[in-house]
Amino acid sequence: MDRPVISIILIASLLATGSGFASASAAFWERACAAGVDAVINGIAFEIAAGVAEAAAEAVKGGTAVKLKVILPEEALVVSSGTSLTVFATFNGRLLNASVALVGEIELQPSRVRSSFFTITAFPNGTAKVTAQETAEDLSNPKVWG
Amino acid sequence: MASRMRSAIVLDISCGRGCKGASLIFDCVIACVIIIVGLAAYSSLVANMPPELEQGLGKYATYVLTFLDSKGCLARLIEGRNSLAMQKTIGELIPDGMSYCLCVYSPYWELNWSFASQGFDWRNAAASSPYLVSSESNPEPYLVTLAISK
Amino acid sequence: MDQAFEAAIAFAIFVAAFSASQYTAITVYESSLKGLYEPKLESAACIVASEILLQNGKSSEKWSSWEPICQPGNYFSPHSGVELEIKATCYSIDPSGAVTKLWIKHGPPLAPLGRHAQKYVSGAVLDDGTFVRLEVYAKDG
Repeated sequence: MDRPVISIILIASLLATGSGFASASAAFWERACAAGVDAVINGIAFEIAAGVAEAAAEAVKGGTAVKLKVILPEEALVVSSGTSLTVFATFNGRLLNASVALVGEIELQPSRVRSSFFTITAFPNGTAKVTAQETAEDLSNPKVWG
Repeated sequence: MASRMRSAIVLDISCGRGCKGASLIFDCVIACVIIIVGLAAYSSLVANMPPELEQGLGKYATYVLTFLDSKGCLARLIEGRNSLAMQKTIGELIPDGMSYCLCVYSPYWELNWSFASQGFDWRNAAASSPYLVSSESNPEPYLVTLAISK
Repeated sequence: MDQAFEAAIAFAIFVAAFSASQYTAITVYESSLKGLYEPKLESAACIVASEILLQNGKSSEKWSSWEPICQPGNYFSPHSGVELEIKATCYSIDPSGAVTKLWIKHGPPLAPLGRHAQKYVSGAVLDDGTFVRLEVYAKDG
């Protein structure tokens, strides 16, 4: 075979191997990013569940209602009922959700809240509810209906 | 940057067409080295970040103060100012491997005195909420805070 | 120099630089992922401690008959990949200020947790005047 043909084949194969490397690493990083985002949403769900458990323990111990505030880095929708709560959030246009169930004596009042500031109120009877925290803006511009 | 470009041009002129690719590769290698050093520096920075402050520890410190006050021991400890007794009582209640600092203030928030155990560091400490202690000998109550650090 | 040979050298340099940068990037990624998992583990430890406190309340009888259970499935779900270690210590104090350890209950995990486990500490003053310190460690299994 001609020398130029051999060198063309050699360079082409080198390019193919190089692009193979690059695409393999791209696939790996895509999966890695997805795992990272899943970890974040899971962490948010656990953080709210921990807040609920902590407030409930405090309320039962103290015998009074306890309020606890949770501030999240992102806006999220928190749906809670019974013993489980689910967090929905969007990252880069992808809708993600994670749910945590508390296997204990805590009972969550059904609620559906979308915010990044949450107030968890726990009562001495072991129930708790998740509500949105009023922001300073909401307080200075109260909405008047009707 | 300008000087690098100039040197690349000089290299190009001095060794003709053959060296253009070589200087390009050389530049790429330098860029890669800069990226790798940057990433390594960032990773070491991430790994050495101070541990986050634990919210639970501050609450635990409040429980410790409540417990000590339940039999009037806290007022006695404060008035005695005995570091050995303090080490024996509070040191026993603090989780292993943690250190603490007890601060006693006047009702007007003037620091009367404080006692810190060995290795206490305010940078990763969590403190209890102020605890009001009154004693029979002193008509004015004290404000006490207990901080725990990892 | 032969062009093909030059290309082969360039490729070798590319592969070396590429693998080195990938290696560093993966190391960075792993350390940042550890930071992403930490809040989850700390929350898990907090949930476990709160549920134990909720179960036993201030009753000293409940606390003395209680045995630590280290299966995370007893406290929350999903619990995959979380290992727990629970340690409770009960203290009493006499009017002179001397603190005595009454009992220690320790629920060891299946495998010993390293020092990278996340810790949550809580306490409770019981109805008979004793004090319980509850330490929960959570680790990615």
